[in-house]
Amino acid sequence: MSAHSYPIKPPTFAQTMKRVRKYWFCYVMLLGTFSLLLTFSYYPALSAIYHSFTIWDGFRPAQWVGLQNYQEAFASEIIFRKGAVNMMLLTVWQVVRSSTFPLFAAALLYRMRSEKLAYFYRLVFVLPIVVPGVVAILVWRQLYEPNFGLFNEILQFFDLKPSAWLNSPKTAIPSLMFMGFPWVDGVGLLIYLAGLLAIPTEIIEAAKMDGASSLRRFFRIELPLIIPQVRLIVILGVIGALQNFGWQLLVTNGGPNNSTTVPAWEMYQAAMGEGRFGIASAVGVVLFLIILVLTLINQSYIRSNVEYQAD
Amino acid sequence: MQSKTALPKDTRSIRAQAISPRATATQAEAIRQHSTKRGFRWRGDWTIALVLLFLGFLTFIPLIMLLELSLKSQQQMADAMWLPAWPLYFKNYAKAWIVMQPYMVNSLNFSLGAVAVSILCSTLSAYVLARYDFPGREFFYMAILALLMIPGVLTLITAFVVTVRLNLNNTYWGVWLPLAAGAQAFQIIVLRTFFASLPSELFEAGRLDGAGELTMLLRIALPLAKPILSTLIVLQILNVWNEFIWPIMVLSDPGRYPAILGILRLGQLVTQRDPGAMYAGYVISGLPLLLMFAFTSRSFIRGLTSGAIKM
Repeated sequence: MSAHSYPIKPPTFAQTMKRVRKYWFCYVMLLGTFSLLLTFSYYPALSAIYHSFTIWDGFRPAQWVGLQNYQEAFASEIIFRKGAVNMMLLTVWQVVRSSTFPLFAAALLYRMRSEKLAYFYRLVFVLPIVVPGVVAILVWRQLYEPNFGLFNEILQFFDLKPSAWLNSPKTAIPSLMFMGFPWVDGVGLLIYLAGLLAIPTEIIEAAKMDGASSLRRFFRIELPLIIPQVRLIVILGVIGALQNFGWQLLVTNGGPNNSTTVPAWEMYQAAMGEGRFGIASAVGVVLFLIILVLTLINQSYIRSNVEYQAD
Repeated sequence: MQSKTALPKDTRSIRAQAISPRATATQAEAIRQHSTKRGFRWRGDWTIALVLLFLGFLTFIPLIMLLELSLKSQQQMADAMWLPAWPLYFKNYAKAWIVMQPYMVNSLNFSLGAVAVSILCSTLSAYVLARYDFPGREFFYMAILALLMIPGVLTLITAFVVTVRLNLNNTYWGVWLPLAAGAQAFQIIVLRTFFASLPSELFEAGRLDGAGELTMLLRIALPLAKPILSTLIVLQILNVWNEFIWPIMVLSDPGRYPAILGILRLGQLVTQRDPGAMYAGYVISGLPLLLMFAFTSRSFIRGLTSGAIKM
């Protein structure tokens, strides 16, 4: 935008300074944002990368140890073995859950002929965003409670064997994955619906006239056309899932027997629990690199045609 | 987009057929089929409605259970934990409110402060990045875009160290500023796109009338940006209200906890005789979000479905 609207010759220093003086107020108006970002984003990011090579308690001077933290993190039975397996399970699961039921619900909503009914259902599925995440976690903990939780009461009612759910290393991770059933996320659903509504009706009508069934239309026309939205929701979900340790912090503490731990939780524990900020930073850097690679793959693999559209 | 959704689907299909290149003899057949199918389609709406109703019901089960538990007395819970009971026991809410009140004030404080700081900064920055061709503009915008590559997990630990070093731990600023910093990238990108889409004639006219740069922002750009600003504010309030990891880290005095952490202490505080009060507290912690949603759901849903807000 700017670089090309100038004469091809780069502006001289004096010219640039003249424009800096003319537009001085712009720098003043950027001041707020960039002081926030320097303090709480850029500096902490660089600090984390630097300190991942040190032994550091967060406050006294750090001691350079090279790759020792990384070696320890990867040698640990927990952080990048058990934790990474859980993290991968939960992340893959996030891909599945954010691209099935919300998409299914959006496709159904798209097929509704009554505008009023469709709006009502949109409202119904978006409404749960007013439930704070912590409340959802605590309510599900009660449903899973082994002695008087809802699920075990139901199982006992049908004379089935109750499960320990979160309290057994075997069932803990599946229980975490099941949480939130049927996983219709309101925001994801709306974004899918936005994609579907943007499909030119001529295409759909032509397919209908050719006698394409509802199912065929979905897989042959609608799904390929809303792949950008699916990618958006999936990548946001994956980035969130890789960093998430809400359950571990509030309910499981990574247990029982480290069966629900994830690297992000180990990072939090290392810093806030044990004061080992160096190794915590190293875990953070590894997670950062994983997220970076996934984001770059996502950006280069299929060119995005989701645009910002202001109205 | 707007006109497309506003049209009823019948007119849409007629229009589609009218401009379809396939307007041949087979079309008469197609139209006939189309119209005979309409009765079936109408019933199809009800099949869809039923499936969605079932999905919606499953989604709401935990919420229904929560409401039901929050209205039961200790005796009613002992009789049948998960079944509804009569009469409703509203005393739980009175009890829970006494405990929750200070936490609700804290949450309100955190939300308003973080929103005020971040909207102020991001509006100013987005405006100059969109409208002025000052030296370094590209650099500053790239610096904002680079934030999308920095995940929260990388900066969490070191941002905590920075906050403690600045003596902001256990203060309101220690919550406001980092949360405001975290929202900058998203808000600036959305707002910059919006400001850049405004026709420059508006501003030329303002300049001819002798308006200063700040006047033009306040009198021309901001009134037009109201819908998008309100959506950003709603999204950020949702985020801040739901934030619990950062407050747990920086607030050492539990008296300053936000509502969704306050509910963790309800268990110790009120459950002696009324265990339902704990669940009532869970409900109370989400009520302000419900209130906000009641007033903004229409524009929120429209904003997301029209693709105005997208990352």
